[in-house]
Amino acid sequence: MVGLLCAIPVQAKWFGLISTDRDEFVNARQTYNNGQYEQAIQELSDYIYKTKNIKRREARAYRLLGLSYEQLNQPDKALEIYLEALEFHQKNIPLLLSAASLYERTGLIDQSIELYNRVLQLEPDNADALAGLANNYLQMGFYSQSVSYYAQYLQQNPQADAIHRARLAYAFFKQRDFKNAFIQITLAKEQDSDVSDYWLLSARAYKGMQMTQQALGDLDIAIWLNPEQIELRIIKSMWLYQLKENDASVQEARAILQEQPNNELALFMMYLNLRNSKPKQARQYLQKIKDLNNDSFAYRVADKLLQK
Amino acid sequence: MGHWARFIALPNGGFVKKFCLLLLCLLTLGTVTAWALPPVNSDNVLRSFLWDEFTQLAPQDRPKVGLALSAGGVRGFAHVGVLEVLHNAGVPIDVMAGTSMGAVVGSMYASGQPVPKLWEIGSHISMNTITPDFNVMGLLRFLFLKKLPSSKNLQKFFQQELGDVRFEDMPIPFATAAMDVKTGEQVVFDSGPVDIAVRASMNLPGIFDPVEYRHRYLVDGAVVNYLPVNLVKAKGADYIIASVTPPDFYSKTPQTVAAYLLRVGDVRGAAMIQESSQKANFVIENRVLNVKTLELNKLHQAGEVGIRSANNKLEALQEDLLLFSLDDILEK
Repeated sequence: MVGLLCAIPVQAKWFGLISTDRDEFVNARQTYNNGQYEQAIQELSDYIYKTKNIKRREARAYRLLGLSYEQLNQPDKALEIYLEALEFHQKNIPLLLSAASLYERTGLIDQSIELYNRVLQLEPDNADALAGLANNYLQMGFYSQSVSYYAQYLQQNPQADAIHRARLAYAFFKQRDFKNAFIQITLAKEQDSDVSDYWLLSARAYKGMQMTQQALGDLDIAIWLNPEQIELRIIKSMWLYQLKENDASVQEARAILQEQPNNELALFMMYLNLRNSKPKQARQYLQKIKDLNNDSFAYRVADKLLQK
Repeated sequence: MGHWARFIALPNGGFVKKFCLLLLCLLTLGTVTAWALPPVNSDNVLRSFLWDEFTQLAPQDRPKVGLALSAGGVRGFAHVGVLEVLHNAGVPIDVMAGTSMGAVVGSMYASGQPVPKLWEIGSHISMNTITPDFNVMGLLRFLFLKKLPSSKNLQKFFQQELGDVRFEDMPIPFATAAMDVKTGEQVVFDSGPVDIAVRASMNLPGIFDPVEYRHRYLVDGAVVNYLPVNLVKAKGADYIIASVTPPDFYSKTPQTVAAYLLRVGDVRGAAMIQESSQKANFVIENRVLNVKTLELNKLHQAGEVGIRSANNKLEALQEDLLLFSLDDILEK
């Protein structure tokens, strides 16, 4: 009886706390939404750690705390929070996804895959987990697996961001499935036509299908969208060389050398185009690459050719 | 918050002992960014251009490329991942050789099976695929008749998967090796039926009964030729890629007689890998950890290691092969 009487005020206090807790969380969330992440961390930490019974600490508060650390570019702290929360919220999908996504973005693929797979065990059609696995396998270079997850993801989300289609296109491209790569990158371009990388991938897919003129057309658009990226113009010079359009290839390489006299690849293209007609002059281009002494593949190629 | 630095128990029951290490990794990674498409840089552009030129050469106009696949039990399934990466990249494979698990994977690929089929096989292979004797009768036979289990199911499995394929019919010339346990000689197979040769090549000594074939008693070729670079060379390869699955001595200490037997083989295998690797032009090392020799449910795990190690080495391999073939490329 005495115990019961003692418990009544404790219970009342506990119920009182619930009401206060909710306000505290709402306030902390508002602070986060206002972009005051350091303040949000303070409020959320106070809110979470005042509860001594760890099982009663809320997953959503932990997640918001982790996100706050992410906003402050402190992934180590964010991960610490997610993993701590996962100890007693083992099946909380938003938490699992947050941790998996953080692992994914920091290149810790194994850990990311493990967590995404746990999400799929709980919710087999979870779109974030499917997309996350697809991207992880793409980064790992397991392209067939990546294609399989992207196919599932895009089936559920036909209107997904263009980047997902572009990545799927890349996975096909890396398997030398140029036709499917082209189909997917074309869809990505329809959604977002201003990305130079997409046009480059489209050009490469065309080239893989032996449609070189179309490839050059898309490459020109990629160059137009990103004129600063000199490598795109080098690629053009290379493709023109492969088409045996040596004059155009030389012209492109020369234009690059006017801007960047020490561009190794432009020097190499000059060598390739001139090596039969003007071998002595061509060799000078190789010598220049060697003299630059960069620790590059072009240097090693030039070195090997000069040994002849 | 203070207890995070202890070992963290994850919901699947495993312990993430490397938590602190991971945090260090994260700290060194700096900014967290979403991965878009890979960047275009000078080395990539030149490699890609020369690779295009190289892969368009007719086989007779370029060096003959050979692939040697090492033994290694379940670890050897990493070769499937390696084959996937090489295939995707368009690395030509003109001749092949493999020992033990390398023989299983290699013979299937050389006989024209696509890589997805190899992954599929990895999903449903079990001890019953290899032996009919992993049961009570087999145990009684072992205890009372001192008879080791037979590996004859593996031969049946090969017949089911490939039919009556002969070495002479394989699209990619292939060789494998076994050892005659009576004489200690290496027996090389590059003609005749493939199924019994592959069975003999992965017939673990002390675990399975020797295979009787042409008056020989054959056991696993790994005992005499763990990494058959010499067989690839004998097939006329000018440039040899070796895919190796070195033993993992540190993850586990053997606890059973069979495990000790396998460990002895692995120790010898490690020495052979070291010697044979030096004769290859390029080595892809697949570090498959925490996988026992016969832990067949971990085949895919080993395969993924192959994907990673081959991808990590792919650019270096392409550059090495391109430099090796530069004269042929420019003479095109």
